[in-house]
Amino acid sequence: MIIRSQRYPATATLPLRIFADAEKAVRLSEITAGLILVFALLLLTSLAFPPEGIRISSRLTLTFPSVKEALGLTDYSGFETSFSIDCSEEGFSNFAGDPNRFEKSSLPLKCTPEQIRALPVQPIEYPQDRKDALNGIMSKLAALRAGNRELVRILHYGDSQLEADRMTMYLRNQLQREFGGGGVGYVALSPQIPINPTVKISMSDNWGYSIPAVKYKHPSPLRVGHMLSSVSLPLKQQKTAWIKVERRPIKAYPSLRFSRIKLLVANSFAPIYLEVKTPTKTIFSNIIPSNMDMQELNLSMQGSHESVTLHFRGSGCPEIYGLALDFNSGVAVDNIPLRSSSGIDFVKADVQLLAKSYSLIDAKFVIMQFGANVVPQIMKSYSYYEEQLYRQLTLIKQMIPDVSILVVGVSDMARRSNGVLASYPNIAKIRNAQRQAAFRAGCAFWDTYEAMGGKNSIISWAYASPVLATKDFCHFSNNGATLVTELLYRSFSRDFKRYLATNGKAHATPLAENSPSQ
Amino acid sequence: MDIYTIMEEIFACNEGSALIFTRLSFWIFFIILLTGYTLVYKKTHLAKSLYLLLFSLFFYYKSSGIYFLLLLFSTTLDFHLAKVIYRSHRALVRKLLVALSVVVNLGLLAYFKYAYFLTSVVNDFLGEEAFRVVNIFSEAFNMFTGDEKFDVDNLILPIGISFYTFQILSYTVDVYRRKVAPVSNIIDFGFYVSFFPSLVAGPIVRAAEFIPQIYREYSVTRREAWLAVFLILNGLVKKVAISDYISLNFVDRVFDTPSLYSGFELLMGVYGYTIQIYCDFSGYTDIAIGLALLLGFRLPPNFNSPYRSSSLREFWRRWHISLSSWLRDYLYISLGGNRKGRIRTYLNLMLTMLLGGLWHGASYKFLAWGGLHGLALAAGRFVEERRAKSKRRWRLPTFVSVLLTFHFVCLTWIFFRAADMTLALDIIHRIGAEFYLSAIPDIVVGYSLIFGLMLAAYAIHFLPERVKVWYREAFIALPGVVKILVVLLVVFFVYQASSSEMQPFIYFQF
Repeated sequence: MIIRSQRYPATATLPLRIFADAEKAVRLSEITAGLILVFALLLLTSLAFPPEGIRISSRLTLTFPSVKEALGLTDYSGFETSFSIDCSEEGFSNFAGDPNRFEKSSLPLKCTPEQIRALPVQPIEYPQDRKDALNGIMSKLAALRAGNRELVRILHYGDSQLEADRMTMYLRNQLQREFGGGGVGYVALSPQIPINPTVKISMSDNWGYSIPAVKYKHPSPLRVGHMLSSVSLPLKQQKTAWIKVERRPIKAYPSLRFSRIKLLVANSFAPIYLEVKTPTKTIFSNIIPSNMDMQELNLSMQGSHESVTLHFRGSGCPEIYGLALDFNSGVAVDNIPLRSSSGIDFVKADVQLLAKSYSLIDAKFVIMQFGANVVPQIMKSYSYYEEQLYRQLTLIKQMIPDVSILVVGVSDMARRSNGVLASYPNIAKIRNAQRQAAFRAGCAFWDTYEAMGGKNSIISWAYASPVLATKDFCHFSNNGATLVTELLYRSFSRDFKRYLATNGKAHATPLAENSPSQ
Repeated sequence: MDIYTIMEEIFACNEGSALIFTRLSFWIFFIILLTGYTLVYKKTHLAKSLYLLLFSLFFYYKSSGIYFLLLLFSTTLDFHLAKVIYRSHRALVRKLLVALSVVVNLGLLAYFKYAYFLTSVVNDFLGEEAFRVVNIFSEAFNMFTGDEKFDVDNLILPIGISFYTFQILSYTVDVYRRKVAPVSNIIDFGFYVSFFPSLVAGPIVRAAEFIPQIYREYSVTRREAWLAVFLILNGLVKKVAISDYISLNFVDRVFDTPSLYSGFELLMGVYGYTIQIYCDFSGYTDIAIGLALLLGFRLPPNFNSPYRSSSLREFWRRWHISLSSWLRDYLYISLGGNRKGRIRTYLNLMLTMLLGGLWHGASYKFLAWGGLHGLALAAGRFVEERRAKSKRRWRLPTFVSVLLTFHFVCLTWIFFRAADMTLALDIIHRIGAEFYLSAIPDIVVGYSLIFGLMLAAYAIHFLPERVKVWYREAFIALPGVVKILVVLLVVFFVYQASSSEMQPFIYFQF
């Protein structure tokens, strides 16, 4: 039998006589006693350590677990110190297991999308006196299905959960599949890193940018349209600027087809020359006059296009409030993510300009999906948030009288407190405030928190396979965003079927064949 | 808590009951084991083996439940096969028996590890759900018990099966090659296969390295005992304070939703994962080697500062050494190695790395990972050969070679870590096309803590070996009381890292 060197290799090269009895054999009982001593000292530390920890600074509190906590015995019904060592399938990412401790949720820790889909369908809730709160959009969709050739625009407002067209993309695909339509609707113009996977928007660096978060303390109302953001060129003598929209080759949109480009634009001080070009031809070239109020420039396009570029030349100061890639009819869904927002920014806008924008785009349905940015502020009551949200909803209703609004409630969020991952304690309160605000304003409400599986469900989503939420225990992953929207769409479709059953609309006509050529 | 509940807890086997090195439950298990071991470790080697075998099986049972029967099955089968192989002088019989061992062991591994992958590949090819995975073991148990207690639609990968299968195979093949004599008794062999520190994630220990130690008396010097303590602490810091922290607060988020991040953040995420996977895996191995050493067993080193390699060939001599040497000895050489001409050598390298990729997990992305390594190893060999023939022995400066090798390894980790090939390609595309230099200062400030930790981890990794040896020896040379104080401080620090509040998601307005 071959016997190789058995010693830990580095030791051979080390200076050996480092202390007197370094090479003296040690008894196993000494090692055992040493280990027991260490744990006894740790036990003493645990007993002596203040349970609330030692606060060093606002960002650092030293903690040490009680014996019960360390053993995972604090509450067997509540805690789960769970994790298997999944060393092969996850690419060796977790050899020694996850040291996290978790509070239990109604879902298994490593759940699957199927287990979440198997949860009871979370119904859309309606105010007592407004059971017809979504009838407006339902009737428009029913008409599309019956062959009507209208363009039904849906605005999907939300916080960073919606960024990169997450959630909206799934919703848009489903609605367009069912009711016709195409294009990606209005896209946010901003000099931020383009993260939208459906279209890439790039622009010359001389555009100024306005959003509520940036001009939070700005005394004058923001000049923004329904996208709640705008870009503008500063006052300067002569200038050129450009905005380029390119399709990204992704699975969801193998070919981005749109039959219309719409531009919400105003101009001041001096006329400016605008050219709109595809790689092969110029589809628009004209002067935008000075002192022009917000208008919708509606340009017809034919076929599929890889990119469209808008060139501006002159000394005017155009303000662009939005750029849409639409079909002529069917459903258009605008993805409007507002970073760091709690959905209470509408009142900061120039109301006249906002109303003008809404009247130009003719939205039929607004989805408001906020709440995550309220969660980190833990308070006893969220009546202030209810009131603020209510004001936004009534303002939108005033500006678009026949609009249907669905408030999508806050999703579950977790934090690590004393080493244990658990949902924030205020999620249900925020959800209740949102529901109250929605009902008071005559809007429908969908409870994301319950649909996800309730308390601590985000932890299961983060450890699900495939991963459904990121490890900040707040944001959905792409798969998770799709899944939660699927759950929402399932509830919406159920109500739509009920609407059709009760309102007896004619559905014998086959689906409208909406194509760019129409 | 009554005695029944305590017993139930001790013998409970579920997803959360695994005895993981970073949990208190493991250390209680280890103290109990050590206490009992003090009574038997000076008795016969059989008593020692039996004692540690029982504890190892209990350790495996706690993480894998009923699958410990699978471990026993493979152990028993190969113990007997090896004996017959060694005794037989008929080449055909010996070949058939070793083939039987390979087929059964790899068959089990393939069934548990690749059933879903292969089914989806076949179904994709046929364009319909023609096949579905069925857990035949659950079906058999259900038939045996007469009820539907076991879920037949769910196939869980038994923990450590990839490691112990390779360990068993190395033994049987070594016996076949007459490099080692078969172990005379099944308890010693069972102990070798199931030795708990290396059971779950290696190192893959060869019989020739381990079995002789069973027959030796327990002999650990004071220096070695403190070296073991140092390795365990080192492993805990690597695993919990570095790997887990970086992964939870940055890397996982970047890889889960790359579309939300700029190219620069993604690149930092890739660097983060590169150091994370090293700290995670080598941290685990450090603890395993330390634990084994306290019990008197020397496991082979598995890592040797791999990112300091100046070629990919060197990388594989420093990274997961026990696996790469296994692949070399039992796969590459079995395929013919470099003995069958240049083209066959390249092909063998490619095949070895492709299969090595598949060993890590059943999906295309692991194939891509292995394929890239195989291609680069073959290309590296080609360049080496050309260089040897050339009159002008040009050579890149070492730091350039290290930098290139490091970045190639980083590139391959993208495929290894991303959830699927689409996301991996998306990450590479964004790093190349949407880097956003102007955003870098804001990002660096925003992630200063994470990036600082990554920088520190890399700095330690690239420290000269003599410096590492120096601080290890400095620890060992400290007075006993100070060493215990250091142990307590490190445990305290590691706990702070594991229980600290998470870093929030950071927004950048550019």
